[in-house]
Amino acid sequence: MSTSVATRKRRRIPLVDRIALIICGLVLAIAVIGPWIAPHDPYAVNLSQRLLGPGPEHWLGTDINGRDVLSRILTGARTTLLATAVVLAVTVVIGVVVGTLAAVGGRVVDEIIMRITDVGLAVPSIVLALGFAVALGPGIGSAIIAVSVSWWPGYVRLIRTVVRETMQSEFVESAVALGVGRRRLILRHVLPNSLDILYVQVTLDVAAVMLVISGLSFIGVGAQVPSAEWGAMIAAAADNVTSGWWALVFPGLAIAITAIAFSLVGDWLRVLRDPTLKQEN
Amino acid sequence: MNVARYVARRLLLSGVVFFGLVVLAFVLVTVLPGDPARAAAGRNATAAQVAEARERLGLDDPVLVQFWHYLTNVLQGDLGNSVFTHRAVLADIADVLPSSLELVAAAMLINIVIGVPLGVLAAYRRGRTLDVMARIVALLGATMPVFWLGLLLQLVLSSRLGLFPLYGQLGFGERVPDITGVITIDALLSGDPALFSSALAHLILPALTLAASFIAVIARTVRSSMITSLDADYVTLARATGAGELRVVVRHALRNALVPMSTILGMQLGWMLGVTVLVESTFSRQGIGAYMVDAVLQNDLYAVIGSILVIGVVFIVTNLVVDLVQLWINPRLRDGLAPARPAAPEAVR
Amino acid sequence: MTLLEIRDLKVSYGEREVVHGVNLSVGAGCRTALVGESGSGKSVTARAVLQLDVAASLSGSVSLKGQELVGAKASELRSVRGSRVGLVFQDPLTSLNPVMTIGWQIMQPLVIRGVKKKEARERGIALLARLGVKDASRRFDDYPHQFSGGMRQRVVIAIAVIAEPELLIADEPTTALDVRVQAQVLDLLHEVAVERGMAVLLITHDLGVVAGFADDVVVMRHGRIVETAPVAQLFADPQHPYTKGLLGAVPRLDRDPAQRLVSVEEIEAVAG
Repeated sequence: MSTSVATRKRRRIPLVDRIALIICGLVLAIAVIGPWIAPHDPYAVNLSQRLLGPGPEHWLGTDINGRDVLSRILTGARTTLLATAVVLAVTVVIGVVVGTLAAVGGRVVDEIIMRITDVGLAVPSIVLALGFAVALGPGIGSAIIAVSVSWWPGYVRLIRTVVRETMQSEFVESAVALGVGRRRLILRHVLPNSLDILYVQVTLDVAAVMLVISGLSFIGVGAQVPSAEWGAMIAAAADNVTSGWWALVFPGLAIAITAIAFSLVGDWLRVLRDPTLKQEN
Repeated sequence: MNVARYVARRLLLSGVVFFGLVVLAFVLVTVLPGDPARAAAGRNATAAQVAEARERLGLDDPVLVQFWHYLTNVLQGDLGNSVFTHRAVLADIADVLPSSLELVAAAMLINIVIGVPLGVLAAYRRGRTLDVMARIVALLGATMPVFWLGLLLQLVLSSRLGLFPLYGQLGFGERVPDITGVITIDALLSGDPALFSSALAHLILPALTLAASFIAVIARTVRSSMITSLDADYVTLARATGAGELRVVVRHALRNALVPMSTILGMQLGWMLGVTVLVESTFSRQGIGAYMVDAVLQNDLYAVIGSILVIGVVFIVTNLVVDLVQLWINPRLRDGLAPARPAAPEAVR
Repeated sequence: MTLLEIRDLKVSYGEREVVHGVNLSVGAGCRTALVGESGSGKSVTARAVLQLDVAASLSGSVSLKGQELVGAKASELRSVRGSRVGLVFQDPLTSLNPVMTIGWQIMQPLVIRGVKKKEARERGIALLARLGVKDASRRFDDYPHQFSGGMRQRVVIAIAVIAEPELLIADEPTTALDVRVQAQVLDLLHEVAVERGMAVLLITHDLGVVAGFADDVVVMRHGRIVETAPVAQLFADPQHPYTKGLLGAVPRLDRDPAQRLVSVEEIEAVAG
């Protein structure tokens, strides 16, 4: 009797995390269908409608060019999230390959890879990204390359640590004792048992990568005018902060709320994976 | 003996990372698409000027020769010239760096003054209201876009409430003697209290903006280290000898948190200097961040890469200093018993 | 004269009561052993004296020379801790702060009571030397990791007794040590207690260490006291079946080596 209650309790998702999950789902849905549910054309300049406050026609107001802020946020979700997704996909692949190599490739390989990641850690990702942006020219494509280049060291370190831990576990030892080949051991035994950490880390990183991407757009080297990317929208609104706060506040809220939701879900996944962390965090 | 080996290893590692940084910069300058000769000659240069620049930069040499030239130049402080200011990049950066360091120092002060007590209290009142509030503050700090936060603070605190100046580093018509290049210090040295308070008022919002995203990480680091200490037998025994709570927390437990704390703070210092790119322009402050943003927008390759090198070197040097400080605050390290560098928490980036 | 008097002490964590009404007294200058297997509530009982565990709620009475401690104010408790009651834990590895010198830690109980640094240092070094740490004045500024387990436990004892408490609570003080070092540390504790007229409440699961050390023995099981007796009487004529079982589990030289030791299951079976 009491055990079944306890089990049910454990399975129930805390309210905050449930809300966060719903928000994440909503944001992802908007990224897919946003352009179709936008009430107005996100790019239609209408100077007679400029800087209108939030109202029944334009729920979140209009920007300096008379474009509907809500429509732009709904449309821009795709740019921001797609860029984030590409960055994470690229860095995860690099992280798994290089990180595994570092973990199983012997001391010299490990040392070389780790020193390269040290270089990556020495420069904040936004700064390194600026370097790549200037070398490759502005645009969302170079922003994606730039952030990927600055983001992979973190994944290499993570995968290296996890793979090393897995290599020392008992089932790997028994696989070795059974004479499983090295390649097969790593691909079939070690990696499948190491990579569950990734879905936690990727969820947590959505917020951080999104912040860097939109930061680059804010500076002017990411998504270009007239893109409805959220950071670019904030940059465009920055010049008339005082006459139209809505054009500044709502895109920022979109970033912040998405970032908070993904962070919360990431934390929840992490505790789910390793319940002992609950006390710590 | 262990100490000498430790120091030697740390120095060597710093050198290796610096070398890697130069390789990275060289790749960005030379190897990636985009013509460095054109970048060096300027956007409106004639074909002859570009060819001359190509010759001068040795771009027709083998890559290794080019790298050797680049490395020796960097070691001599030659980071190339800015096509926009027509000056040496290093000289440009030297002019604006003090202003950035002022901002970073102020942000670091806020980071420590808010983040450390927040972490300590959250650990001490674990699971209670205060801990939950600290988590919320940390979550907000880590997820709010820095550039957006800066604009919001301007909008609300400066524009609407008039509590702080909107931007700039001094009021209209105010001047300080150029002594150190750090405006608050120069204002203080000028002996004019009104000037000093004006400089401080201009510093607060950008510093707060810059600090916001870092507070979460240091608070979390302190909290988790404090929890370990507060649960340790030696803290219970300290209580059993009749030590007061304040003494137990500060002298017995916090002292242990110093080791991971200093590691994180050292990394944060270097990163803060980088994040100025998202803060300085918003507040119309001089500094390496604003310089970099201008350079990126003007396609000023050498200025951007030079800034990356400087920021990277600051990071390497601060971390070397922190590594040496560790020797002093972590006695087990001196006898080679502790890991040289505690694992950084996953949230540091 | 009675120093520590525990009457009908109940300790619970949340809903769960783990100590169910314990009566126990320790005379001034006497050494009492509180014996029981792990989970018997012996540690919880002893630690209730200093009330260091905020999660534990107490009822009943714990009085130290007539001063009631259950429900006492925080400031009262603090004045008892260290100066009237000292505490030693099981594991000397975790009992010392790794980033502070052992000297600093030994001096703390004196420093917080306003003793001058110089005097605290002299007293600390003298005590450490008395506790058998060679070269005490030179080693005073060393760090915990530079000492062996037995030496560390001497440092922990020094911290506990430097403020000259009337009662020392020693919670399994030798369990984590080498068998060879165990006896040394216990003998030392005995000597120091006698010299200073200090009472000791020794908590242990090991009846074997009790014989040469304690005057009285209290046996606990499942949060209750099952037997209280002077040590000689307890060994010669144990009353409770559980105690008999425990005694059966102690290896003794005077017993026929062919006779097997009693297992825990057998004790459980006898005691019910």
